[in-house]
Amino acid sequence: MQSALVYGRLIVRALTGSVAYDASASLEYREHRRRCLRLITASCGFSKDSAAAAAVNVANQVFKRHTFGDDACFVAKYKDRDVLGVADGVGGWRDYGVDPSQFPSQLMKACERIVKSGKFVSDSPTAILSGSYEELMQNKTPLIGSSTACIIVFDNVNHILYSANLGDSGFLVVREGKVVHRSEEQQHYFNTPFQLSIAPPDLNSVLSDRPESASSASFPVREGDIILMATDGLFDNMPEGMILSELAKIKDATFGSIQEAVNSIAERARDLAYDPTHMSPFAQHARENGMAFIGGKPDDITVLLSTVYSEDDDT
Amino acid sequence: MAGFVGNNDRTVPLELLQVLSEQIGGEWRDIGRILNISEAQLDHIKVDYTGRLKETIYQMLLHWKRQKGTNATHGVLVEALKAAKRVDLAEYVTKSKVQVPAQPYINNGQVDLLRLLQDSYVITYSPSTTHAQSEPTSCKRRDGCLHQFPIEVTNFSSQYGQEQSNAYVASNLAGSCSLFPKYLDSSQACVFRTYGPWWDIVPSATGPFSNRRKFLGTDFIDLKLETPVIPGKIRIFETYYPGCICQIFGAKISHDTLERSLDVRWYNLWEDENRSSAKDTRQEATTFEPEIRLIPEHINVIRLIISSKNSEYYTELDAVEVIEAKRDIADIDNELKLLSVHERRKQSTQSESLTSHPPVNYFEKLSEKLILLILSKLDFDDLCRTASTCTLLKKHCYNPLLFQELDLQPYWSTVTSGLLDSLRVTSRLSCLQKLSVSWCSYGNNIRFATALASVIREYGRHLQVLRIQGCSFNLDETLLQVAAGCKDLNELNLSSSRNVNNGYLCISLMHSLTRLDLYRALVTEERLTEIFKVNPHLQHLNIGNVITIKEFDRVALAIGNYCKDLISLNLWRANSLTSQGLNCISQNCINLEEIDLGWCNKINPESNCFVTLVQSCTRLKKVFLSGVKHTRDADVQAFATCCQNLELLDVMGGIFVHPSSINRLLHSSRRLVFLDVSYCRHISNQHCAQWKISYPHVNIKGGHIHMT
Repeated sequence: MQSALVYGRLIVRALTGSVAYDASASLEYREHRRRCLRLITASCGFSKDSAAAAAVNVANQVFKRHTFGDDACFVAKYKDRDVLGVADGVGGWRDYGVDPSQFPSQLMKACERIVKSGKFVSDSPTAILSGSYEELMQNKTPLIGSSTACIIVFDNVNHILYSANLGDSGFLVVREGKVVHRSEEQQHYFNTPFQLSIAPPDLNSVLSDRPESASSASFPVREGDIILMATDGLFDNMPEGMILSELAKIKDATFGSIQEAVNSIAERARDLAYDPTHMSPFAQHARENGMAFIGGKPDDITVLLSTVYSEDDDT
Repeated sequence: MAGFVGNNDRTVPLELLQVLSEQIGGEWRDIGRILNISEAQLDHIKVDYTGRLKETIYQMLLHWKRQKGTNATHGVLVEALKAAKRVDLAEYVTKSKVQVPAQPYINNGQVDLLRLLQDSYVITYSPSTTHAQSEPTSCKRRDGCLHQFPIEVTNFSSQYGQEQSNAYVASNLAGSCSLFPKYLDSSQACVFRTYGPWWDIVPSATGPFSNRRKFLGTDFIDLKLETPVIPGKIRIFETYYPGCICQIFGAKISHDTLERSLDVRWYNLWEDENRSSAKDTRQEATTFEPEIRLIPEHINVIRLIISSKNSEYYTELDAVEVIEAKRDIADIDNELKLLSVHERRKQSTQSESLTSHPPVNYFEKLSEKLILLILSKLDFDDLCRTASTCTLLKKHCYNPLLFQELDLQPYWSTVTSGLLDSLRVTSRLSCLQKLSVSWCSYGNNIRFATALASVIREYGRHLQVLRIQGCSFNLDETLLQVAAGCKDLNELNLSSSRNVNNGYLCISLMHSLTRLDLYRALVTEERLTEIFKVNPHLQHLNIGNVITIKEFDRVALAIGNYCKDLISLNLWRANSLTSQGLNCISQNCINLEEIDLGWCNKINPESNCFVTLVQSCTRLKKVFLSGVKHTRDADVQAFATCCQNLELLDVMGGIFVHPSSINRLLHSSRRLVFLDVSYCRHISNQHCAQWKISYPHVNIKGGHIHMT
């Protein structure tokens, strides 16, 4: 009972405000605590087949949330970390009777589950990739397919972006209109990116890279930075300059304006993909490799656009 | 009073008076006067309760309340307190919520201040020891009750999936639902290693100890809650072959409990041994919500006991939701009374007996051997209770001959280090031959470890069987004592007990092992080789899911070299085992009757190693190749022709297995009772349905699997 008495008095005192409230002390505390920077992310994409639909102005395929054709993506959050990921399925499996969109979408879902359960460390997005690949391998039902993958983990407290990229998907960090960081692309040879795969046992010569061979990097990020993550459907069709000019049109750090921007980027990329006269980055690479090619590259396009904002702005 | 809840016209509850009586001091008489209590009355009250100020004040306020009846309102009290210059209390009274609970908060004159404030007043008061100040994200408050999903799985007896992965592992049970209401076999569910009777009819099965209490549990799993609660409901989401939960226990395990190795008090929240024995044939995801007993203490750990002996296939669980009980003091009070009675009864079974001298003791006239025979039919807890009846029975019940085989697993919830110590000091264990402390104790309980080691040291001379399954306490000391004193030990079972540093060294000092179970142990290839070297008569070996073995071929070589008498071998998920390693085993262990090579996908059947295996080990009764994707028709045909005694075959996930070879197998293997052809690409529902009709004596799994 003694303790109850003490607590009772404390409560009463707190109620009546007789415990001194030091306004200046609380302000100091706030500044001392590291600001939390968070991401607002919007996504948009088009599957390759939606070009025909676009030609007749049918918008129904456009805003599907996580899979666009053979591409897949996810956006997740756990405590003070934001995680984004994209995966680009290898379409060639269609010839073997396998649906190429299964593998990347299961891979991304498995990554999302790992993130939501918190069983990961910020500085190792490769581990998230390994874990989800491992989970797919362990499944009793045989899942066949391959895909590239790119995962970024943004630590809200120390403001560092950790990335793991396997293949030719990737991301950029844009600050004040300039690209300050770009992910490293991994190709074995032209149009053959690094890829994770699970092959049927009767096929021996399937290219399969280990998740550990993903290129990993870390980059410190500031408030106001823009992070754009996409599959090669975007980067192969829209040159960097054009991407930057689209990003410059972002009005403010609200979800609405980011969604608008990402929609316009994806749409523009899709239009360029079907433009036979456009000198796309893909066409340029083809020429560098000795192939006479002009025009865009029809492909699934997936774009995730995020902006870094400070939590305390609202107060 | 502007801005406050309209409390002013409600009569003050007794609870408020109790609270105030503690807060008011010497000014009570002033307050009394302001409340229009006469001087005379005040004097009476003062004299009646001299020396007890709180009681005096309470009685004064009570008198006022009784006197004024409906006029004894908050408003009046507030004014009085203000007038007596206790503005703080006035505000306190004013800020009370409108709704005052009907249940009394006074228990034997003690005020439950905590609950009082939590339920009826604005301030949420939380003492720092038990409750968190703000609710963590895994919990949600709905209808006034806290709903939470456990945040972590702290211990379990077995799991189907690969260690440290996310597929089919026990840790999937933590967190919220991810599958329900889907009914399917999913890698996101929590799946245990075994099901059905199939592990009891094989050569590696061990029978229960004699006079063991009936105990159906096959697996357990411990879940940790973020916020301690008194559970009102526990909802278990079963997403495949439901109906296997047979008991639910709860305990409050604090940091202190673990640090100081205190005894854990497990409350039996629910049990129904019969539920899991009835076959649940529903093929749909179910939520299992049994009637939970109300307990007086907050718990933060839940232990589920699973009994899958009657399940048709692997039972799978998605999530467990724990819902706080709506606090009802009357119920808790009753439960407390019942529990305290139960406690007293329990304590008496362990304590010294009462002495009684009946005039004529016919029982004494029976021969000792007869008494011993009668008592040998009792199980352990009955024996303890009998011992507390009279000195004669105590003498007989403490006869070491009754404690030759001691299985403490059915009593895991009450086995403490104290029990082991008392068994030891009363010399009941001098003939101990078989001991099991499986599932007992929680966490790294140093006291339990020491107590067990002491038991072994003093009475391990004749020990033949030692089972320590699913325990988290450190085994080094115990293993040391076993190595030093138990020269006759032939069975050592450390399944899922992984807290061992250098204790595995001690196992290589034991020379007469015939059974060794190191499922999920953390032992290396070198240690195992040493152990095999000195135990050439090893017959049953389980080294499934041992992740510390990086080159299984070396272990296989050692087995082939030293353990030629092997009868059963469990190499579940030996990921690095290749056909080379398997060949070492095939060539040397020709007496093999049982082999489990589940998910050993580095073995290439193209090398004909499975054919070699069955050609060499003709006595094979059980061949499990679950998840070995490359098993071929040629292998199945070899099983059909070479294994005349084949009883159990599992080729789950065999992508290349065709119905024709299975047909041949079923036709020629007359002794087959179990066949698993799930997830075989070329084997369909129809095939399985036909086989079930043609071969009714074979339990065929396959075809009815619901794929993700």
